[in-house]
Amino acid sequence: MSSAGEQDFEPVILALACNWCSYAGADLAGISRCQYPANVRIIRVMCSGMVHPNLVIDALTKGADGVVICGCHPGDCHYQEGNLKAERRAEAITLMLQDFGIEEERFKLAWVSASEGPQFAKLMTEFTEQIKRLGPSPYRS
Amino acid sequence: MNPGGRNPAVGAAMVVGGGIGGMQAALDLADAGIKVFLVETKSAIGGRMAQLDKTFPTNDCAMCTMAPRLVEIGRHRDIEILTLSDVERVEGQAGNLTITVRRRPRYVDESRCTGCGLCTSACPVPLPSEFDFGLGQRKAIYRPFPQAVPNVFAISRRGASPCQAGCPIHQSAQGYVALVAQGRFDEALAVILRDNPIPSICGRICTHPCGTACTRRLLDDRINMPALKRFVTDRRPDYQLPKPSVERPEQIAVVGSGPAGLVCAYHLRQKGYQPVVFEALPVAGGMLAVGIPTFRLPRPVLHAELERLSALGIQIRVDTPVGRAIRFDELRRQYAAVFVAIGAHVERRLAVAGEDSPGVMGGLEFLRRVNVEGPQEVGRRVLVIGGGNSALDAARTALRCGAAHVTLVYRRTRAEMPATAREIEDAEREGVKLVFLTAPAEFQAADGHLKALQCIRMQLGAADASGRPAPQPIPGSEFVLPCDTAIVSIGQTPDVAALGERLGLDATKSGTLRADPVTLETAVPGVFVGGDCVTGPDMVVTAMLAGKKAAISIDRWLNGQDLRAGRELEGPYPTQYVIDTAGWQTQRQIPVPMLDPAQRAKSFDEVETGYTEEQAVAEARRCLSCGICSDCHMCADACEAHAIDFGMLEELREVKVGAVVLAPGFEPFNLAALPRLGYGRFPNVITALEFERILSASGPYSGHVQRPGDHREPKRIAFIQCVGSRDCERDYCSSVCCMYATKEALMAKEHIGDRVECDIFYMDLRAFGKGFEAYYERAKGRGVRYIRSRPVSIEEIPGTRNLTIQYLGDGERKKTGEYDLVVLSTGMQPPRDAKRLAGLFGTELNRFNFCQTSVFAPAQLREGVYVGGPFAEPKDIPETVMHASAAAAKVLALLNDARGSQIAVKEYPPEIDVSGQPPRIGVFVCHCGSNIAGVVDVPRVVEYVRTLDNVVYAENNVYTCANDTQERMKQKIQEHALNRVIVASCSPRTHEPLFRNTCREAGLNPYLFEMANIRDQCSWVHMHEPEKATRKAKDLVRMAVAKSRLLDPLKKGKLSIRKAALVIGGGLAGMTAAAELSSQGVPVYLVERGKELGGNLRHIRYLFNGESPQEELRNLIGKVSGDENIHLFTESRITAIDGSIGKFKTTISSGDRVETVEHGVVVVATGAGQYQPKEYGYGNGNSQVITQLDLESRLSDPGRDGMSGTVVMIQCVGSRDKERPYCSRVCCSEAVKNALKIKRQSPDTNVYVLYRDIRTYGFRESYYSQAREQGVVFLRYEEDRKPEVAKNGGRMDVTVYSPLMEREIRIEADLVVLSAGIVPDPGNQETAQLLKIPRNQDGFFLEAHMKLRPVDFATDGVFVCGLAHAAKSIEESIIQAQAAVARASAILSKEYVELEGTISSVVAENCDGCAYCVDPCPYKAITLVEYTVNGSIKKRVEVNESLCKGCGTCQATCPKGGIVVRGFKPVQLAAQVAAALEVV
Amino acid sequence: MAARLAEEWFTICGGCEVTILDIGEPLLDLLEKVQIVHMPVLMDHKLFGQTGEKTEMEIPEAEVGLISGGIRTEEHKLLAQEMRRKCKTLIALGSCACYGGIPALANLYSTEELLTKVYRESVTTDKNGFPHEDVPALTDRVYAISEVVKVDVMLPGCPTTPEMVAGALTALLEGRPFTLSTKSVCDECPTIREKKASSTLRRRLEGPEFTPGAPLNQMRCLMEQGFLCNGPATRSGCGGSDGTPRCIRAYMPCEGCFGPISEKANPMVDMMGALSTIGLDPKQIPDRAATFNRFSGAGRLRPAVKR
Repeated sequence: MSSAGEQDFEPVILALACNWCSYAGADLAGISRCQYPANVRIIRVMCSGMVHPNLVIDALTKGADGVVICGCHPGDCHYQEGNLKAERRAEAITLMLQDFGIEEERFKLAWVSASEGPQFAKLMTEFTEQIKRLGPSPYRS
Repeated sequence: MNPGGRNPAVGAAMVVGGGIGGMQAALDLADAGIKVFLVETKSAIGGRMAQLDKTFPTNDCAMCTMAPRLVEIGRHRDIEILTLSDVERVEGQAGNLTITVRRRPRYVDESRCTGCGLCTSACPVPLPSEFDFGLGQRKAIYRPFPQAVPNVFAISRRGASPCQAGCPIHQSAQGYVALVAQGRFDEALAVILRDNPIPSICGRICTHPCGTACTRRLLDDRINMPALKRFVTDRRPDYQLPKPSVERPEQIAVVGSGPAGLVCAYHLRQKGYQPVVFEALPVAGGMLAVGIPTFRLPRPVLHAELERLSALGIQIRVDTPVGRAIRFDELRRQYAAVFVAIGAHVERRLAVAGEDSPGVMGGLEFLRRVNVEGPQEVGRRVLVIGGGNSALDAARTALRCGAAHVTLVYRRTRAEMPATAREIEDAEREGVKLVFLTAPAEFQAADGHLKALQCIRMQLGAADASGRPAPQPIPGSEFVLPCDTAIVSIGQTPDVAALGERLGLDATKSGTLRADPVTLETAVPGVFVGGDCVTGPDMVVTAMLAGKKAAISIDRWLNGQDLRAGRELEGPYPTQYVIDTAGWQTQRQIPVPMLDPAQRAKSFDEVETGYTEEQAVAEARRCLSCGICSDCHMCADACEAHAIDFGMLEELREVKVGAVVLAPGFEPFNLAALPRLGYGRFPNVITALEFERILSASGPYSGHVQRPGDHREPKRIAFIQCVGSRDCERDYCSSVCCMYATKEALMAKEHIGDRVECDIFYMDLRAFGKGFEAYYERAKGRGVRYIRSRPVSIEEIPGTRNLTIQYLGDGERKKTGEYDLVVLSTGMQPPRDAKRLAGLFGTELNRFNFCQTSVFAPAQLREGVYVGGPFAEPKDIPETVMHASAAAAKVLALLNDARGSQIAVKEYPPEIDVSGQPPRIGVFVCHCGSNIAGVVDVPRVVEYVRTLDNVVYAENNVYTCANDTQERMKQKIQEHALNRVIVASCSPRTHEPLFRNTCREAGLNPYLFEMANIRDQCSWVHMHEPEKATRKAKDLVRMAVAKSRLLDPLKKGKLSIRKAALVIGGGLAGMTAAAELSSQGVPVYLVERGKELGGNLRHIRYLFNGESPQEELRNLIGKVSGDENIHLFTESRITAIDGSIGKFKTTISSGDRVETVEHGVVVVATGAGQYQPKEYGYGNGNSQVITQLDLESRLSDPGRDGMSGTVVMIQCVGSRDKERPYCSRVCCSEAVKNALKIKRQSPDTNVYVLYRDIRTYGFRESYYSQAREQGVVFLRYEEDRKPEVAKNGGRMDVTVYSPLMEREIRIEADLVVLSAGIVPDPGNQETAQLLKIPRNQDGFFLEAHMKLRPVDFATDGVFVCGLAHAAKSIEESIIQAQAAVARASAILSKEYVELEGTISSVVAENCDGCAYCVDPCPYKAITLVEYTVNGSIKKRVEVNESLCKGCGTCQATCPKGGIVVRGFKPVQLAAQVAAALEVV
Repeated sequence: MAARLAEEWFTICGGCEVTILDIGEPLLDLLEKVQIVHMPVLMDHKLFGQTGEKTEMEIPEAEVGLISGGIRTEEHKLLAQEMRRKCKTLIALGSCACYGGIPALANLYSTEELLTKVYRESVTTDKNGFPHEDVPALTDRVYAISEVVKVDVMLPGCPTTPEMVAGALTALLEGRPFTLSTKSVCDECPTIREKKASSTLRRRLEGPEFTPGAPLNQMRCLMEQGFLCNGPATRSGCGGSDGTPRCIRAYMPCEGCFGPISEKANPMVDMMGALSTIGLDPKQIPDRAATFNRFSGAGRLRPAVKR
């Protein structure tokens, strides 16, 4: 991608954030006025462990330029080990992205706690930049 | 029960302290039917835990685990939180207490504040944040932390600052100064204009009593308020005064256009009246125009102010002397009221000979002529007589009129001059000479020209009526001052003769007009007087006050109101609070730039040129913010919810409760008591709590670990333990510091990486809690270095500001280490309020000022007053939580009969059936003041939303969460038959419950509600991209709409509850739980597998504090076996437990009898056993090697003699080793207890204790000290070099290597006592399987959450207590048993358990029974069942709704959508995704 | 009057045609009700007219059309369209027709890769150029029939089952609708399920534990025994009226030949999700795409991305 293209390209990024830690961390980013690119659309889930790989693969094959699942740090899960389940599934998702011809950088699993507002903003900023560098999803029509 | 047998008990309780303990007690009580008043002295609950970063030993984020609980309390209908409150008075007795609570004002209306935070950004007063221990800043209006509950702001406000109080018109000086300091000049101007209609004049010539009151002058110089005011007004020469918002027809006459008249006219105009100002002179402005020279007040400035007033509609008629141009009675007839402010324009005369000579003139006359006609001719030599500002003005004007020499003659000294010092200085610089102690005697003229003034020298005598020393002439000291012109400027009086009498107004003896000092009324109704004509010549601002007062009086008079009420604080008053001036840095006032004195004396140009922007900001930053809140009202202007109320007052509230739980927490050790550690002197020596904030991602450095001194990342960190613990004064252990230091060291490594070195200086590493030892091992494995030593000194290295620690390590001599950062592990002190609280509630404190409790009643202080948390003894979070629950259990027992009597019951309308209806969606988009609307184009979003399918209604609101909007929402739901509601505003985490409730009140199922977070996750994070934020807001709403179409009404399942409990285990914990449950009227099935009740307690013969365990045990057994509510099953075992919370079915087999009982809850109290040592030659009939329990029974056997010879105790037998890597917690204390007993019985017996770390935590520490004092020898050994015991004839040889002495020591012992550890009961495995509850690696039961749910299991309705949970003391077992009861009571007190609506459900047509979801379910809520279809057997899963928590692991596992979480179904999430990807 | 029946075969082994024979005796009844008008496997029928006089391929009109095999060449595409035009009801016969089947494993490679492999790199061929004249051009990938033309009835399976073919034809002839099961193989699988967690996979040839002769409902779920089984993500029906899935009956895990349960489903994603949740290291699973989508490669398999 040319640098001009990178600037023009506004990726659509989805963040699936668990209610107890990451969604709260995203809220804290707001409360602390940490700025990050406006490309991220957050979808609240109760636990990162409730996200079916289908949802991620579907999103990425239907035009999302990037998807990030955010969960509690290991040990912090409100439901004991949902985040660890999510971690296992994320490995599977990453592997399968190859099968779908999608760059694995388009998907990420990240831990964000309720007190990590700035970290959430940083994560979103970096992820957006990463996606911008990659350019539009191969599935974007 | 009816406590005290008097009035019926009150079904309410008070919890004092809103920390984690208080919160737990409040929740336990409220959930069990007791109304709770939660009293918190701070502005929000949360306590110390809120400040922590992570928690040990799980490294959970403190806020993550705590925030949901905060929210739960915040919205609990039966918990009333009283913040900023302290208990003031306590009356009555247990069951019936009347408690008076003093509530300090918050200045923010809790019911209106939406927590949006606009106020904070508007506030100009930065303060060190207490929450971050001063490492970060907050504003005067603040919320201690973002998750605070109540989620409302508060203002730190002491009241009017000295400057404001000292100003006659109470100009908010601190306010505009604070705004200037922030470079917010326009807002500063707005603040000034609020009280002052002529600020550009005041900025030049007001004498500023505010400065006289300024606290800064105590230190160096006052703040230069006038120069700041002038700067602000000069910047915007075209500023306008606020326009009146109402209009009234009444015309008011104002006589005199001086500052009094103008200000009165202004305030009247603001109230809507039509004032007309009459001025006798040809120019308006009174003294301002004719008395003040232009080099101090340039005329364009004055004219501009007059113009502004005229622009408001104030008529000023010059050349209109009242009495001549218009008659006074006419005035009174034509005007609704009259204000007379004619000033004091008649000059005093000297009354000396020759005063009528040519060349002698009055000072005012001279100034008036210059001001009206232009420069006047004066002689070469000018004398000015007088010492006031007018005299100086005249002198300086004379210079500018061309005089060569100007001399000021004053009869007292410089010190007595009424003129301001600055004016005197300015005049002298320009060349005016001053002659003091000189009085004029006679003007000498010749040839029609003034020649000289004969004077006489004076000396100062006794004070006169004015308080100044009276000058006395010195006889024979006459001398002559030659002069060509003399200007007499010794004061003025009002023209009472000319006007006052003609107006029919009374005069005073001193020649001024008489007026009521408060109301300015005169004897003539409707006529008010004020200003110099009443006070005599005075400051401009005093005249302005008169004008303001007159306006208030006139308004009240015209409206028939009381003229006098509530005017006490009009005019200057002294500050009403004390300001601590300690620790301020000096910084002199910034001088105001002026014209060169030589130049300026020749011109009438303004002398001062005014501050530059940088100078103004620098000067304003000197302000000390005495009032904290500056009264600038910027927050009130910013608050669109109108929640700020500066009029709030302290209030006393009387609350009736049946009992009290004291949970005020602890106070961190005050380091001022230990100056040698360098805290406060060395910036890189910090406390552990400060380090928590530094580590915290939401802390002052956003989690980037750095030292406060220079914000550099530390490379070497030292932690110093036992700071404020285990010393002579505080002979107790704070119990938590070893672990938190370990945690902080680990976290530092996590943040910085393993390159950071962390050294912990400690005495004994007290990792005695559950999972602590493993955590300690983990830290060691990660490279945290533990140095057993108490540091000798800490010194700062100049230059690097690093710190040198000198310490004594094992063996060698003194060592030294250099560190970048030193963290002091400060201990716990009793709460600051300890003595006061104890006094109020009539309870006892121990010698350290913690609560005095008994081992067998650990939560009770006296009947009706209970304690939970570190107020009783230093303890960590889970123990605090348990203790608080235990206190709640005691309250529940006491108030059992009154339960439910005071709790709120809410009725909802019947639910509308929306099934089969197409979605009709209503969307409410919130502005959140300008929080959202300031960035996102809300109307455009609304417009867009209306175009979406199924949206039938959309609107925008300033605050959707406001009460009136909620009512409106209900209306709209009905009006438009909405069956889905969406609010686009803030976070569902905080506001979803509110909106759901509103839906419910409108008859809509609450689950048909959905939120779009367009504030926290949109406008706030894209503040500089309004276009993109608006687009994103549309997307977010579209996604919410997409999901809402697929929402289903959900029902919360209900489980009826069988009011009975099963308690497994008849030891201390089990019996305590059974007895407590029974005292709440709950039938109990107590199952004990042994023959006898009592468990391990049967072997404990005595305690440290003299209490008698066996007597207590007998009482308890008696109570339990005699209680008809308790069904005792001894020699019984449980063979099956079916069911779940609310209804368990348990099969108990006792011998050949098998019985099945039903109960709603289970308490697991199966206890633990003593380790049977294999070490040190124990057993095999060797009577010289015994355990501590053996020793205890021997020592308490009255038939045996005392010990003699040498006793060696060996610690950690069967604990802290490979096989059992946990600490058994109690053995150190047991050893100390038995050692003391031996010493008491036979002081000559030698007692050696061979240990690894002595873990006598809490108050046990003092017994350890006692043991050492009494000669018990404590010898440390190392894990890898355990002591050796060998038989040597009749004695035992014990060999131990002492690392301290670096050599082996051999002791010949008569008795070797092994401190055998505690091992989990082998039956735990079976119990775990029966109840499907987990155990940890060591074999003890694993609670739901190690910090906040220490007695619960993840399986609802099952609780754990006592040794089954982990090793613990008697007291701790009792606490946990009581806590289990409190937790169980919350369930048993209800008719049914309400289940969450958003839980899993099986989609029958999709589920094929593959069973993938069964094992991953963390709650074991899914089971595989078989059923038959057309004769073939099929499988399918089933969800136990009472176990499911809705985590969705199953839904993410199922390969074919056979199980889904309601409200988060894959189709619903997919709809959101699809909507997000839609191209708009 | 007998209904006219046309049958075409594309990329196929012929097994599904054999299945028709396997219907056995009921076939005789069935044959009385139909008149086969076009069926290259049985009889010669010239597509361009008996003398090659036509310029476009043509087949006779029929009430029922059967197509087995997926589309691999441009000719298949045209023929499929012709079948659609001429047949009132079009049936995809077997998993190749329904989902691409085994030939669609070729979709894991680009056409160029395939040709290079087959015509240049394969040791058994002369290193000649690619065939180009006299053979129809290859399509860019293998397609299921339904990706090219509308299909009315799908009869999946590799091969499909005689019972299902007979059932479908009988239903159609009698004017009854024919629908497939929406259940998965697990629904018909009688094995015992105890605990899914299994940390290591076993190779097929190791063979599961079972008691010979004992009913299958005494054998433990093969997945739980460590064999990758496609059951949860595969449409049921292979067992026919007996109920028990064919592979299970042979003590083998389900291969997934009946294809995904719904058109949207992707067995690989669904199975990978489920397997990773129960603790299986996803990297352990060999040849992911081919393992789970072995029979449904049309639209579900793609050439691996070169990185």
